[in-house]
Amino acid sequence: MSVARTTTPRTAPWATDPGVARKRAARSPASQQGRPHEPIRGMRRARAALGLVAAGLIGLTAWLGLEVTPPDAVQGNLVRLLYVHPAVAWVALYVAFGIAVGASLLWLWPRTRHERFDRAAHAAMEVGTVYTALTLVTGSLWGRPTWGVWWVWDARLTSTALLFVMQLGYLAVRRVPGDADAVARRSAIAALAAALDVPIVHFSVDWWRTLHQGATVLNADLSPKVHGSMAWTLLLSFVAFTALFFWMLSMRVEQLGLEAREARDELARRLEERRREGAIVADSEPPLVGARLGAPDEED
Amino acid sequence: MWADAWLVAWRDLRIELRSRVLVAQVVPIAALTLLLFAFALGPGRRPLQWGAPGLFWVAIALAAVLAAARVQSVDAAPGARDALRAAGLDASGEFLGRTAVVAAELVVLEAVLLVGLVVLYGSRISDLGALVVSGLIGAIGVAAATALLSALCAGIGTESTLLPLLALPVLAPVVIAGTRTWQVGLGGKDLSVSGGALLSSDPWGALLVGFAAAYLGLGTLVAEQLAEVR
Repeated sequence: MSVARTTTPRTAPWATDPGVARKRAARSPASQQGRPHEPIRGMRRARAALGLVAAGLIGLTAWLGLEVTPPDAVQGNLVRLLYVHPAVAWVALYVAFGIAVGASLLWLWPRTRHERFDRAAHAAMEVGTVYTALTLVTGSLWGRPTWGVWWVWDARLTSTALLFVMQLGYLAVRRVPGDADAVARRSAIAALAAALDVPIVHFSVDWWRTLHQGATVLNADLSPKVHGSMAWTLLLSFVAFTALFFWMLSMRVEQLGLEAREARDELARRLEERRREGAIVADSEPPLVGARLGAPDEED
Repeated sequence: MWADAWLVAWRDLRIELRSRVLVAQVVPIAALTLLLFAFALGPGRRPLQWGAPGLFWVAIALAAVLAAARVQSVDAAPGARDALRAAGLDASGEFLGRTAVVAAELVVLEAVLLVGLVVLYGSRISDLGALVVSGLIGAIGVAAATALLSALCAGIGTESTLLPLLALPVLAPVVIAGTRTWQVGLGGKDLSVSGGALLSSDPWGALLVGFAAAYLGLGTLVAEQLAEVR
């Protein structure tokens, strides 16, 4: 008498749990493409509105900066870079880094740990890196006609360039293959280690007193050195580029979330395939040795 | 924590003394850096003396990356970290111990390089106290930062390239502040555009202390988190 091996198909727990299955069905790409949930639709509408507002504000800044505001008495039309460079520097140095560091701290703190903070830190650092690059490029464009060179070893420029390299280092840590939790942990600590450079960049113009000018608006005396339409356009540029940053951040956070979900679904699908393969192989395998030994009548 | 720090430091120092990697490899590499700088800047002593403080701190930063990677590799053998964890070793203590080892190595290295500056570059020591104090504080800060970042990169497979990418920009404030204080200590020309007023109030010393405190604090706080991923 042979004893066949039990070949009950092993299924994933979520395949049998109706609650889990419902949640998975709601998260499935088909559901997302078809009729998204109300909160997701609301979030997307808000983001679309933010994108439109950012585009409008950027357009308005461009119009004011290029058409309405007068050329500077000393710098001439070069002053129009003032409506781009300080604003992108503000976002790169304070907004993006602030969010990346805050989100990293929230992720590291066990009570507030959630993958959305990891995604926010990742996205903020990525978009912030783009803004830092823009800061360096626009600063260089301004420096060529003003100082006569594309680059000077100015304290602010150098420390910003170092910050850019640190951001690239953070992104390199992000690309290290491995467990998502370990990558998030390493990245969060890398963000904190890099963040200690931000005060140095901020105070560099005061400490070194090199070529780069000091604060124009938020200076130590709190007396703005820019007035009239130029001041309003400058202020608007800060709002516009900050809005654009948040729109980009929101897009990237969602994209990272979708990538993570896709990776999880893919992993679950492959695991399920493996389990099925295992079940098929088990079906086609000969009976256990012990079972054959226990059935001499069939052997004969 | 302090007992564990002492335990790790003593163990790693004994390993270093027995393996003689510091004496046989790191010190020669740092000395070689001085020679290479001399080749790059030419045979004249004037540019060498002028740039000696900066070259010294660049050599220290480069050597620190090597030393921290070396100290981290002591426990790279399979199962070594698990054994440390199973032994109940405090992660913060481990970080402080490794920092102490790297700092001790850097102090030895600084002494050797200082002799090199005097002999090879003809630098003149005008304020030994400033050199010793800033060298010590700078070494602690550099050691803390590199120990933290080498722990972050441990076991990922690309640490040999990732660690310098992360560490060298982070060490830039120490290179700048250390250079300024050593310009005074070596009696070299002051490179600071803002002049002696800034140096007299010694913001560079404060920057060195702040840097060391910041990275010692950060490393101690996140050591447990890092221990979980290694």
